[in-house]
Amino acid sequence: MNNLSELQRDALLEIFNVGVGNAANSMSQLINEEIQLSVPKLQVVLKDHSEVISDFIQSRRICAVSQNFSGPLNARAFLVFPEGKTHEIVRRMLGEMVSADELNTMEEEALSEIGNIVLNACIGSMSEMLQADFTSSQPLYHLGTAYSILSSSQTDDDQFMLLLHIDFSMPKEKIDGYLIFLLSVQSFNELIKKIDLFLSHI
Amino acid sequence: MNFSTNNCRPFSPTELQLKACTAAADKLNVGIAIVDSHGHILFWNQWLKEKSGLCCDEATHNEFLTIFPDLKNSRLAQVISDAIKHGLPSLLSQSLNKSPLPLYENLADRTQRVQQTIYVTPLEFQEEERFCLIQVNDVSIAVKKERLLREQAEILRDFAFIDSLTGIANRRRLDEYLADEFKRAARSNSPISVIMADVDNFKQFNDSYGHQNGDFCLQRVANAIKATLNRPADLVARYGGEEFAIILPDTSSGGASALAEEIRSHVESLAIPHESSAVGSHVTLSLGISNAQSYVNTSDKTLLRQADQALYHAKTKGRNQVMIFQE
Repeated sequence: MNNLSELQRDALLEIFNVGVGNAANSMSQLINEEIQLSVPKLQVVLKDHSEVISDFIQSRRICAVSQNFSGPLNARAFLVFPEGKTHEIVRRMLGEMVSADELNTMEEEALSEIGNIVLNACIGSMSEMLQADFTSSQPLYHLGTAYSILSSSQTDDDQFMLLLHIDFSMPKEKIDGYLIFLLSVQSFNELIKKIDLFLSHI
Repeated sequence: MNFSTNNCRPFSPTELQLKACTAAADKLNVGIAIVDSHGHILFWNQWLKEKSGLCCDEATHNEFLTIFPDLKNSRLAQVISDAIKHGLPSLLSQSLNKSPLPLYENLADRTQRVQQTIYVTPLEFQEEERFCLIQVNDVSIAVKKERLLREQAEILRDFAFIDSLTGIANRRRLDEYLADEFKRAARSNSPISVIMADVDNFKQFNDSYGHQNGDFCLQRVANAIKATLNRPADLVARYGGEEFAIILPDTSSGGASALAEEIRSHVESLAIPHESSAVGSHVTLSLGISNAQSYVNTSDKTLLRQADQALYHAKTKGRNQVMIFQE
């Protein structure tokens, strides 16, 4: 049930790659520097994912930006980076050299905007390719362990986790992060239905 | 369109409630604007009127982009269209978007715009039409506070890296700088040189003239070395006691040796009296130079040690001279 067919997986990867590609364009314009984003890998993980989480993020703390979206299917979407890497991305974009341990409010806001651009672009391409209309919340910034961030915003209904690796490349720098979507069984089934419909039209 | 944002019974306000909401929106300490699906401004609150100088009549019933033609093709225009067409909310942070709207604290002085964080959110209260809520927060004070904090952090950081007696870099700064520059030199395969300098017979100077004059002597020597260096990447640090270290990135041993000779003669020409010196009647320096050209089997620590050995050699050869480290 949690196994996607090869075709379904490819379709999802394509949707997300189109999304993050658009996000990369917006970001490059915003900071006047070439940014490339790609999503090379996707996993579907079942609810009891705490082991996976501790496995996939080695750093103790992560930074995340989340947005909830609803429509024919509901999901909580996260863009996640290890804490130190987030500082690199943000300070690189803002061109600041002084390194403090924590991002200040303005830097947190900049990161929220980056997350917002990526998540909106993914939701946008899902909406376009799957012919579904979504609404979404404003982005929220989180800092903590992956476990606490994901479990605090998870409800009992969320049985599935789509885990996507995202490569964030700036000149002379490459940063790995994750895109995570938490979905209920019902929403996951709806997603598969929409993907099958999308595939049948190709 | 399917709008399923909450499960509550829809709110149908009375006329009084509507009036109350409008009055409240005008008293809010944030900017509130509502744009309809054709890009016309439907509502423009008091805060925006005051900061933009546009009264409600001018703003409303006009197209957003007609009023602000400079915003065509801007990110703000893009996200407004994303909100209306696709129902996607956006955040425009102050740091990545420099004050998109022409809003001013003081309308008489339009040189500096209010620093803004803007939230653009789709509004769905009407079937078949999506509106867009633009919320503008003035973050000028927060930006100013954070700039002050950063400046203070930089000052504190600088203090932690300065030798309090001479005002030049301290040992901690030297170690960090040498490690960074050594790595950079190894990466780009360019030469790097280190000079170690020591005041000749300084113990005797202190004994004859007292520690206060000793301090004064070190300050003058430090200033003389600093004045001789003229590239921003060159760094002089107080290594300890009467010993100084100079880091010279992109410098061959020939270049370092010429500079060391210049420093030596500069200090000699200060003509600070030193009657008990074994060299002469004035304060002089002995200097040792080391240089890295290839980066196999060597480290920043080795470079310092070799400069120190060359310095020792200069001392044993009779002081007031420059020696280059030889294997």
